[in-house]
Amino acid sequence: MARIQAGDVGALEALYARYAQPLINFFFQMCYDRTAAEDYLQETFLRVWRARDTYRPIGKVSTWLFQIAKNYWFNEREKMKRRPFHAVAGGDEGRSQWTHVADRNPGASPEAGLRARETEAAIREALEGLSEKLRVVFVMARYQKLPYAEIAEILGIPVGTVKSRVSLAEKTLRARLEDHLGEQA
Amino acid sequence: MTRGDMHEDLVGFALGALDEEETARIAAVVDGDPARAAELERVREHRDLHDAAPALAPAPALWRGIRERIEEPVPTTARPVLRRFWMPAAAAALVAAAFLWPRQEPRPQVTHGQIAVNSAGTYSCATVSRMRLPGGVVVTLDTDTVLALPAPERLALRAGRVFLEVPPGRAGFAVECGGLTVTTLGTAFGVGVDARGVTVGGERRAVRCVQRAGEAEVEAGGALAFRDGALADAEVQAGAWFRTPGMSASVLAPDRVRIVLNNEMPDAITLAPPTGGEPLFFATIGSGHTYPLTPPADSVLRTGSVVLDPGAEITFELRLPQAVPDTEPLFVTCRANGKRVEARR
Repeated sequence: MARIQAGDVGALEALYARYAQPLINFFFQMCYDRTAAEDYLQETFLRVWRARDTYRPIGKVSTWLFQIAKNYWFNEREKMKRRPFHAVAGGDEGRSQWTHVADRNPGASPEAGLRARETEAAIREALEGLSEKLRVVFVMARYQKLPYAEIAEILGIPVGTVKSRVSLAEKTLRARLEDHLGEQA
Repeated sequence: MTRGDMHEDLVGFALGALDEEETARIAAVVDGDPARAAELERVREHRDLHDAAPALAPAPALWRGIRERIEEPVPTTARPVLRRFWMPAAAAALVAAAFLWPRQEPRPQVTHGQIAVNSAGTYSCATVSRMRLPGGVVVTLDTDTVLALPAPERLALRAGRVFLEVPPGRAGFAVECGGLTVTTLGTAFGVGVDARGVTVGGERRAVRCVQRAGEAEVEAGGALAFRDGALADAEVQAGAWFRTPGMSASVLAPDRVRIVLNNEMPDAITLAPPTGGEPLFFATIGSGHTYPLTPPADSVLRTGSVVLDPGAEITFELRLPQAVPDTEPLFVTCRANGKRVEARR
């Protein structure tokens, strides 16, 4: 971060190489829109660059990055809600660019591939049914594998609140995905 | 500990999200309680199911897009700095040029030196024009705008509308207008004043609006209206009143529209009727300097892709999936920056 603060774009590239994957997937799991997730990722790193002077080395870099990403996400959501002519990016076109589980395992049988895609669609539908508050904590805990203490710091809420929200999200999702549980085994 | 608390801890344990002390405590509980162990197994089964969730890998072009935007050159003056004694002549020439400028000019040239700091007088223009203030702030003035520059970091807007592009490192540049002080926290914003009050629109990053009654921040893409010295209830569409420097649109036929972008970096364009409802057309444009357009199947794109160099201008025509009635204007919204421009016949 010191090199970034000194204006070293190469150091920002190294930070990007380390955190682009978790951040783009954070945005993607929040909106399931590849185009939007890519936009958000770019904007997040532009904001990191512009705000580099405000970084203080008192916490983890990942916490700072996710705070910027989270703030940007919620700001954009609010703006989209207010805009009368907002564009709905991605749609089916964006979804066709997902990395499907079946594609990650090319040796799987066609039936297994079909089941995997059904599960994938069910997970997406279940996540989209969660409230934003529950979704963001679940995505951070399950997909980004962030500790509760760090999630609490990113979101500015008590650890106990994170625990209860993740727990509620887990119960809700498990009920919605009941038909797909057991297939993994 | 209640059953609910225990479930919370089991979920945190399964996700590896607890601290060391809690992890050890839950591990001990699970070891000695078959019912808890069974519950933990169900939580883990659900956890593992999410391995099937779709995931993305960032495309290599994304970093190039970030780097290009970081390294965008700061606008520089096209001509050398004028000596002080040339400034009155330059100002007179600029005013004359402003009157001669065609009103359809999409992006007037940047000039500088038209207005002196600490000037007791004001600068006014009849047509849209742009000028560079001492320190590098570029101001686009709408028609019939009147302003003064009481200090290098301060612009007083008396009438009309201005759009300001503030170079990095000049945060703090302020516009005073109708009892309101608008201070930039970022790089681009617009301020307008008319008989109804003051309107402020954020373009890139935020601005802070301070008045006697309090203060409010306008985020990029947002806009606020101030009436009678107070924040108005009515929301203003960002960019709705801008003359949209860098963007223009015209309707060529009931089902054809031409869009001109000057050195803009949009990633999507929406055409919409002014009365709301579904967008008529939506085009996605890739990031970086190459802009492959992806039109819907029922429209025809004249220009499939363009390469946009810094300072360049791109023009493309879209055939709409349906004809727009002659009586209706058409709004073109640029998604990347929230700008909106009205296309009239």
